Amino acid sequence: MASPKVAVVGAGVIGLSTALCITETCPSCSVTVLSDQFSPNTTSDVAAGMLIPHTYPDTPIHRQRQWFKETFTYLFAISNSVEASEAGVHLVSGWQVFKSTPKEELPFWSDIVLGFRPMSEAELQKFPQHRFGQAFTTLKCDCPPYLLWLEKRLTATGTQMYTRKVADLWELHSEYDVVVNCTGMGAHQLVGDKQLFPVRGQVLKVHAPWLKHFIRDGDGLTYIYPGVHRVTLGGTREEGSWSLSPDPGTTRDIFDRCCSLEPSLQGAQDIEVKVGLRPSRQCVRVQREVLSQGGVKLPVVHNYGHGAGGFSVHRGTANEAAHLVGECISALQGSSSRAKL
Amino acid sequence: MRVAVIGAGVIGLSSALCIHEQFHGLVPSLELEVYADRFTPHTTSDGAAGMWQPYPSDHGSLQETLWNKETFDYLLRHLHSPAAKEMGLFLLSGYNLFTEPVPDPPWKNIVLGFRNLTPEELELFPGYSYGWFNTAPMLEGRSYLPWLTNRLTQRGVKFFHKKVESFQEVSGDGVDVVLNCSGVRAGHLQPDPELQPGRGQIIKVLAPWVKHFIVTHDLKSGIYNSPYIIPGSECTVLGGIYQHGNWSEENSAKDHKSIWDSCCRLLPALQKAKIVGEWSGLRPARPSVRLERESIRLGNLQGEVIHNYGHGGFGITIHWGCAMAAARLFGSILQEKKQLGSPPGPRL
Repeated sequence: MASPKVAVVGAGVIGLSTALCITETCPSCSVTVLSDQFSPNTTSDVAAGMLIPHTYPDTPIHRQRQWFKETFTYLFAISNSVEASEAGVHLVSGWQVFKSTPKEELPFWSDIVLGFRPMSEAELQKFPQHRFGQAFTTLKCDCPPYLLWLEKRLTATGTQMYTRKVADLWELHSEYDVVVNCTGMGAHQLVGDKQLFPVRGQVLKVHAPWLKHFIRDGDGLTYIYPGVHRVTLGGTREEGSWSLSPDPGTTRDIFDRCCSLEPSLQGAQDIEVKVGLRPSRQCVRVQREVLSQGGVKLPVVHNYGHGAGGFSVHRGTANEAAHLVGECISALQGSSSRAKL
Repeated sequence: MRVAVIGAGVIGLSSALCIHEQFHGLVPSLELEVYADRFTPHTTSDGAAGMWQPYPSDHGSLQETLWNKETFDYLLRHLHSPAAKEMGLFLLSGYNLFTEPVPDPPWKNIVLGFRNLTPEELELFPGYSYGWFNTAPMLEGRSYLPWLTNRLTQRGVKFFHKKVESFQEVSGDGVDVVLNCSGVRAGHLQPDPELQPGRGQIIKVLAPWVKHFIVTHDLKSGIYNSPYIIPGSECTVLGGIYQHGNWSEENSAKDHKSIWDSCCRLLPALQKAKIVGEWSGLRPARPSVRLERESIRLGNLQGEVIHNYGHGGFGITIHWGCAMAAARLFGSILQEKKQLGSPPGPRL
């Protein structure tokens, strides 16, 4: 197989980064990205893109650590390069504060982010309703810039991207050798995964350029994440809600909760409201599968179900998925394959 | 009781406000007038990035460290007030970088979250092997000075656009106290060989992805002669020039190149940043701040001058502590004139 044809379905952060990893690990592959939505209309575009991991209950911690570490290392190098501003990747420091001391004082990722330490008494005075906190420096990927930068990198490798709604993976079997499923919430319909469920998040994006720190309540519901041009204020975690319409009462509530953490937000301008459905699952599905129908086989690699932690682990899961694509190609080429991994 | 304030930079305006706040209630006849040849946005304070940070070592000046602390505490108290945005006040964290280990600064327990940099963090800054991380307030002169001006105007303080040539000039007609906040040009009013300009130049860029200050130190070339990057609410300031004795307020192409090259080496992404301005200013440098009273002959009368100048590159950092000290000196002048606690009487 001279030039294996790989289709990546989905053009959010997972689809685009997976496609990019495949071009890196399998330069002879011809990669095509197919998606019904591209930036700025993906779920990733709503997210703040903060590298603060979400813990998946059923994925082994060492694997989550590995994914996060690879992602952090990758983005750290970008943030320190001349491409940082175009990619929208930047360092940001701040505080995670708790109203009551958390059971787990040292999260699994505390040695991967920079300068992690408990907050001092003096620092906690800024948060009178909270009694414990952690200070650290992490990375943020602003969208659309980060997705547009990934698209640009893909185009440079010769990867084609098409707007196309894929209703069934079998549609692709005659044109492609391997299909990579990075459809996020779309996998619920596309592959009938009932373990995948939406967790609705509403956020506000505001203009408040004097805010230079992130502030996150440890309960995960209230957060302030300054990006390149706008600050993301959040949020909600509504399990099972499929509604993509902004709710005005929720907007008011988010704004009030954020103002009580950071009073200067009262002066924020240009409030924009967005909604995204976190494609949530007890564990991220990074897995090979061979679909079979009437004697025809279609190798599929799944990479979806990242829920609230997509940006935090995207590069790590993309690497793993690209590795699985390599295995699929090896299998297709038989035991004497010379597939590059 | 008339007080003439000379100078409308951060020192002049904040001293005036501090004195008016403390004594207007006690001395109903108190009238303040501010005289200056330059007002915001043309003062030295307007060009400063506005970061609260004293020099890395205080050369033993405990007094200045205390004034710095008073200013820090004052700013922190106002951080959550509704006025913060209008004042140009917000928190900023960042990095101080060195090429070798140095002792902790005298202000390590004043700032928030002071710590040494980890090896991973130092990877961001090739060429630097040691450093500090901390959080401190930013107070942008371009917002703070108009805010101070508004507060003073509301209190009935009058402003006069005029280049004052002598103390006598402002102290005729019953001015009892002159507050000398004339900054780098204080020597025109009274020779002071210890006061010298510390010329600085900065480039203003749009780099909104920069969320930390980065201040490098080169112990051989001296303070501020090493690149620094300070993000503000509208633009990011690039600097790293300190020329003792240079009075030029013209931008120098050589200094521009030096700042640009050294800052882009520190943060490669700056190469893509759009330049939106350039400015040169003269830090009022002095071995120590001159904050003291002096009795002066003003015509037929004895008058009092309170000097408050020579704040170098740390005017914003120290301003409120000095304003309070100036107010205390004013209070003692009032005591001596028995203005405090006495019934209203003829003006002296």
